[in-house]
Amino acid sequence: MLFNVVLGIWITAGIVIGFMMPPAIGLVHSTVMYFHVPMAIAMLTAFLIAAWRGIQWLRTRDPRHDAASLAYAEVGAFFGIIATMTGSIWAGANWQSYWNWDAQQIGIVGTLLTYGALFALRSAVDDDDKKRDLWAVYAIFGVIAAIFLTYVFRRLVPSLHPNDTLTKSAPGYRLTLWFNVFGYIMLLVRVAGLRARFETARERLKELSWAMS
Amino acid sequence: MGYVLVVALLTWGGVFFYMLRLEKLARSVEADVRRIEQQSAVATSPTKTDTAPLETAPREKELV
Repeated sequence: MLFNVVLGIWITAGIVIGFMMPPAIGLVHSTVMYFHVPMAIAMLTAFLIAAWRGIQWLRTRDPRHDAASLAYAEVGAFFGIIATMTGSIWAGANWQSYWNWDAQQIGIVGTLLTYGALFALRSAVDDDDKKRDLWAVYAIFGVIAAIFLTYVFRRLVPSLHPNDTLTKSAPGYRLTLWFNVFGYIMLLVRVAGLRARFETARERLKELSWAMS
Repeated sequence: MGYVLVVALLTWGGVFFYMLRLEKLARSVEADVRRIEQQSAVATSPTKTDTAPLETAPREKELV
């Protein structure tokens, strides 16, 4: 309960502070960056945790790790959709075009399509253990693809996407950015943790109902 | 800008209530699991009528 209250106040404060900040140097609008950048960082964090929990499943065979891996990947993909949408809004304000096939835009869409395909592949397997084994491998593959597509790709080809605009700005901008990054990572941990708990309990309930019938 | 801030706060409110609802659902399913596990533990626990070796022991002694 206390965590929910802290989270509620933290993110509300982050949104309000983000809207109150003046535009960063060299940009027409930068408000959306306080949500776009934290969402993208939270997305990559989620995919990294999903891969780690997948490895934990392979090592321990504890289904709670598989449930957590899937939950982190799902919430990460949701954060990725928001990062894409907010990035597009930012591009519309600063590049006068919502979509212009920039390397970063292609990269994040590629990441989301990759995870979409991985979710579809997981749902196509009926056997629970096989599904969990395959998902662990998918999660490892997914995070490697995500790091390449969202971080490396735009540095290999020409891109308009700016790097380190806020982190190289005045301390107030950096503080607001990291305040929001921390808030959205807390939200990620909370929501993915709850989804994993719910899924684990639901699976156990299914097993018990099957055993009793 | 004020309008966008209101939309952002309303969206966050929606996510927050989804989170609270998810927590309530998880607690409810976990309570169901605990209840069924307790019921099945009671149903399979040993009772005095199951302790056949204790009842048969004196008879074995009599036979000897």
